[in-house]
Amino acid sequence: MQQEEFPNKVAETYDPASENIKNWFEANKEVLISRNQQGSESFRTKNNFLFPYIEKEIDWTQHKTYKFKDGREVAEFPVLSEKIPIPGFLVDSVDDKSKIKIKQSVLFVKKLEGTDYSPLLVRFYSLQENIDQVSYNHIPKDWNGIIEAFGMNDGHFITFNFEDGKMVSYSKIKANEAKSLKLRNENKSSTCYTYLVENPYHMVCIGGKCTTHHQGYSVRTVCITYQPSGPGGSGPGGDSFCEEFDCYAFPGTVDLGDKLEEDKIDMEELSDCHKKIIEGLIGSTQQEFKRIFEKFNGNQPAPANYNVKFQYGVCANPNANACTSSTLVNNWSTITFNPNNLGNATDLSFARTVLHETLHAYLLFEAAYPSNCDLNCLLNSYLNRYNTQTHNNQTHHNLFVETKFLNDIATELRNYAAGVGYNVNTLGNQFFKDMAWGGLHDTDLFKTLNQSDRNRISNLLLAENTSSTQNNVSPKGIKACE
Amino acid sequence: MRIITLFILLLTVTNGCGSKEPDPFDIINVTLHKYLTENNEVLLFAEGNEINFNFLENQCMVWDILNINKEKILEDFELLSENEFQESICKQLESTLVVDHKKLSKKLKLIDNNYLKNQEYGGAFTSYHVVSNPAFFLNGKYAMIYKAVHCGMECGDGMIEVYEANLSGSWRLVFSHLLWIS
Repeated sequence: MQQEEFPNKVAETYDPASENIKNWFEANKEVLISRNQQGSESFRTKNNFLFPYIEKEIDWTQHKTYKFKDGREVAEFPVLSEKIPIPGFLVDSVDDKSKIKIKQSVLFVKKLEGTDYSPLLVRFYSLQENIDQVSYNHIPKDWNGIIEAFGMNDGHFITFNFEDGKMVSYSKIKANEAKSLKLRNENKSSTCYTYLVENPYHMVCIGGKCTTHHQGYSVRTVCITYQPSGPGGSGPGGDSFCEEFDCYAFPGTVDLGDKLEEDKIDMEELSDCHKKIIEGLIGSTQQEFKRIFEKFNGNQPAPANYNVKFQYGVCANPNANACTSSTLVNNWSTITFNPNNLGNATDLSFARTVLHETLHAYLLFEAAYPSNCDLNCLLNSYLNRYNTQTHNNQTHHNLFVETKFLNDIATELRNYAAGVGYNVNTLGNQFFKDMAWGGLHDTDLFKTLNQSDRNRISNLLLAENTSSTQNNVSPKGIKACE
Repeated sequence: MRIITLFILLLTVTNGCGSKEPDPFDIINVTLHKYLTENNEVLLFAEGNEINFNFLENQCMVWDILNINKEKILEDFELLSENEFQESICKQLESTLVVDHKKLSKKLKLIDNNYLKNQEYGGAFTSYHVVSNPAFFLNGKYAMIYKAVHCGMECGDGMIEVYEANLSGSWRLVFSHLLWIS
């Protein structure tokens, strides 16, 4: 048995949303884990079947958020524990139980009214290596495995069986045969069978030593779905289940906002040509921007990874090539390219714009999620210098040019140019240094440059931005996306 | 004679109590104060001698911005009703203000698109400011304004600021929120 940990665990800094949920959980924990009976053994109550109680630790430093189709917000946190029960039928199906990969999460489903949550403990079991890619709202297309949902007291709610990313059946143990199942729409496109079964045995292992838990008989209802759910399916037979007053969507059926790859840099709205330039740029980066793009490209929730979306549109400043939204909505930053002003830009000019705006987005995330003093203390010192509490043009751009970022833009633009076939030695380092000044002519440092340098830089920037000669300076790049 | 004296006294008292209509040009001067103290001349965009501002795609999200940040700002926030506030503030911010030159700082130079076209590089690197008509709320105790600096192809920012009136009649910045940066 091997429990997969969420990679890239970060220092214990909680965002405000996590803090609120953590506080709510701490205040309600005793009630949530109550088992109405002493001891940690599995047993049956009037309404439920309780599995062996396991001490759990929620990792509050990272979570992913999404919504159920009814609009309720969900925050999914990783859960760690020293031991995890494994379903007996899964143990029986393998020759070596160490092949079973396990992951635990807890979902906090925000109630539509009030400040309370409906928590749900979820355990994922699979023989596949890609279990770290599975979450309650995202079941990979090729995934085979079991998902079991529990209350926080380890009372069993429901078991889902997935094949090739599609739910093929779900089952529920009921202590009382007369009590009807609360599976919504269960007769819509699924057939359910109810029968008496020996209580499911579970094996709990610590350090290779395992204990088997089972007791008596229960009523079990199994539903076979005709129209398997999941990314490739057209929807499950039932789409949610309820326990007491709390209802939950089935796994893989929650609202994904039409995009499964929410963990990647979102370029869906861009033309293939601009996508290609950005992909080439990301691929060619070698230093600081490589790290920054990786931060945006990862699949972990903020602050482990950040999210950025590129789109076309008009900025509040109609003369701007691009602008970056400052408000991080659901931990997404949006960079808007104005096609009216970028329509004639060379590929090098467009790539420079991408680097410049991505750096803004990165600094805004770093301000929202301070990870280390190096950068955040620097940001704060610029806020102090310009006597503002708000990040703005002055603070960011002066920081760009007075620290390593100006050189980083030049270096990475050179790497990109080399990658797409430009003779960078012919272009020379001065060309890339001059290009890096794009958008930064309002800085204190630029104003100290002599007039000749300023003119050279301005002519070059305009030439590359318009693919036309400016005061005898001709563009070196090729007009992008012609 | 006694009646006239009483009238003058009454007029003095009511003005002294701050019942004077808040002046939008006071807010414009104060929001650009930093630039006005650091420069001899500050460019302010006002096509046709009018200050005009519209949120992009009618996305006036002032309520959301204040609501998200309410802990950082006014205690009086709880007194506001969402619909009335949103509608009233957005209308004020997006309404036209005809410039009264006597009330604006003398350092402010009003410019328009023609001015920009005639600048070096067609104004591509010219730095100028854009403001909205200020919006007043809670009986003129607070003022909100959109202000931006435009300085070229990847240069500029835009933000919402909220000012609170002091008893002396001056305005104090109590909240600012960056909307975009470029």
